[in-house]
Amino acid sequence: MLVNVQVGAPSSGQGRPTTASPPSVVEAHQLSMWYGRTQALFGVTMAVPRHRITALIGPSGCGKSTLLRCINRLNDLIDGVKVAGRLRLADIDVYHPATDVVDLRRRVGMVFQKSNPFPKSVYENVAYGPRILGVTRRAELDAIVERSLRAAALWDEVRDRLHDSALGLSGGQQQRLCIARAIAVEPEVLLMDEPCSALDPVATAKIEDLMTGLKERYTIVIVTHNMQQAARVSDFTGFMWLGELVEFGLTRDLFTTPRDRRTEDYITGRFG
Amino acid sequence: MSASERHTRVAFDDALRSLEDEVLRMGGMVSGLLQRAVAALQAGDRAAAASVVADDAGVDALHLDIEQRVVALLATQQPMAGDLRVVTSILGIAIDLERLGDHAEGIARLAPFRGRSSLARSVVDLSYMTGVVRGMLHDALEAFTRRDPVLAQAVATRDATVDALNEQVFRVLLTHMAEQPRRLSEAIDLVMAAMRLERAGDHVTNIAERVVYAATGVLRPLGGSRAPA
Ligand SMILES: Nc1ncnc2c1ncn2[C@@H]1O[C@H](COP(=O)(O)OP(=O)(O)O)[C@@H](O)[C@H]1O
Ligand SMILES: [Mg+2]
Repeated sequence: MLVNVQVGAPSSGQGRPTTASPPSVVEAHQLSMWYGRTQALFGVTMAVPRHRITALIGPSGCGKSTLLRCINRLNDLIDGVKVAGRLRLADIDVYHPATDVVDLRRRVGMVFQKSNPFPKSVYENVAYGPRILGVTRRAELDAIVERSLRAAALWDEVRDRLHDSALGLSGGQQQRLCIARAIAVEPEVLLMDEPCSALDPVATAKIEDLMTGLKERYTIVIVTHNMQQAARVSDFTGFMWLGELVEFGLTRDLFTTPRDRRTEDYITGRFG
Repeated sequence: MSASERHTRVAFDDALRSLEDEVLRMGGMVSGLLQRAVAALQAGDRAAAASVVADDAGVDALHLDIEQRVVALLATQQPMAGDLRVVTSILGIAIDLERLGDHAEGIARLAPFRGRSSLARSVVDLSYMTGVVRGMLHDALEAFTRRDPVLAQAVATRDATVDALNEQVFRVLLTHMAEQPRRLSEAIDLVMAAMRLERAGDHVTNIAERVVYAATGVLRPLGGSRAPA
């Protein structure tokens, strides 16, 4: 395995993440994961830099979503899952038995491929998380809803229909609503699993623009099967293959001068 | 991944191969123009000089065609990694070849004003200098086809020879200018021709740099004096 960023000891190869890279917010160290007897991740070591966009690319089934779902322990919901190695989110040891999973999931928001708004109003979708966290004052909720919708570049389109059903929005609007819902509870990390694969190019461009703005406040990890998208939006890219993180580095370097032959073959379209 | 899982990208590979062929064709044209330009200058052959000037237009056209095909390839095939480096290198190489053609044209344009130059035959031998530049160009393009950074580096090293020859021509002609002021303009033309050959060597060095970049991803000066962008 060739990993350019090591936990606690950033590599200093030419043009690679160096000590100048921002501090990492998520760090995996020799992380392995099994679905029952099938191993899906093999000793992944990776440092996700704070307030940057990190993309995970690789052929279908290579473990991108699995790795993403480790970060908020969404895999816990699946029977027979076993994890080995270490995973840290800021000050939290993610898989420590004493870790509060509810708190972890508040700090790690997630957006899925298929937008999944609740069958409620636009307003209630965004207010949902803050309400669960105990925010009850109407004025405070109003402020959170507006701020989140603005941050998701949706406010101008829905301000007059906040109490209409979210299901009446277009696909692209629904996906931005899901982003607003995720950031309403002020997470530190935003995980996005192929957030644009059901969207047309215009809606995709809006989400990509949005991500670039969001990274000022959040650390974003995006799984995408669209390499051009990874190249466009991300600062760092990891290439996964058969459950291994084969290569991780600055997006610019990975797409112009990959180090591993497997990365080169994949991104030049000669494999997969 | 095993070899059997690798596959080719037929449309991209075909387009790239034909682009590379065009670059080689352009290189061959330019090399011929340099040789013909210097010969025309030495012989004071107006007709030969005029044909070099005319043929340089073909080099310019080839450059524009390559540029358009590179842009189309980037837009339609979105090459990455090694493929991307090769495609962008082709663009850079075509620009340097176009400049090389301009230098050949510049040398040819000196010929008609002088008539037969005895200085060019008896005192300085521009043919040798031209041969060195053309040899470098040949090997730089060979290195490009083979994606051979070692050969490219060796080509760049030879640019020092061209610089030294230019220096030598200049000193010799300076002496002549002092001794034979009546033949001043003939000597100045030869100085200018040698300078153009020296710049040609710089452009070949640029090409060698592109080859190293395409092959390794490292883009850095390979030494020698630099041609302006
Ligand atoms: N819930 C699950 N139960 C069993 N195996 C799974 C489950 N989810 C994914 N896998 C397997 O784990 C591997 C990685 O899948 P996944 O992380 O979804 O890949 P990717 O997101 O890169 O397409 C695949 O072989 C897949 O079949
Ligand atoms: Mg997936």
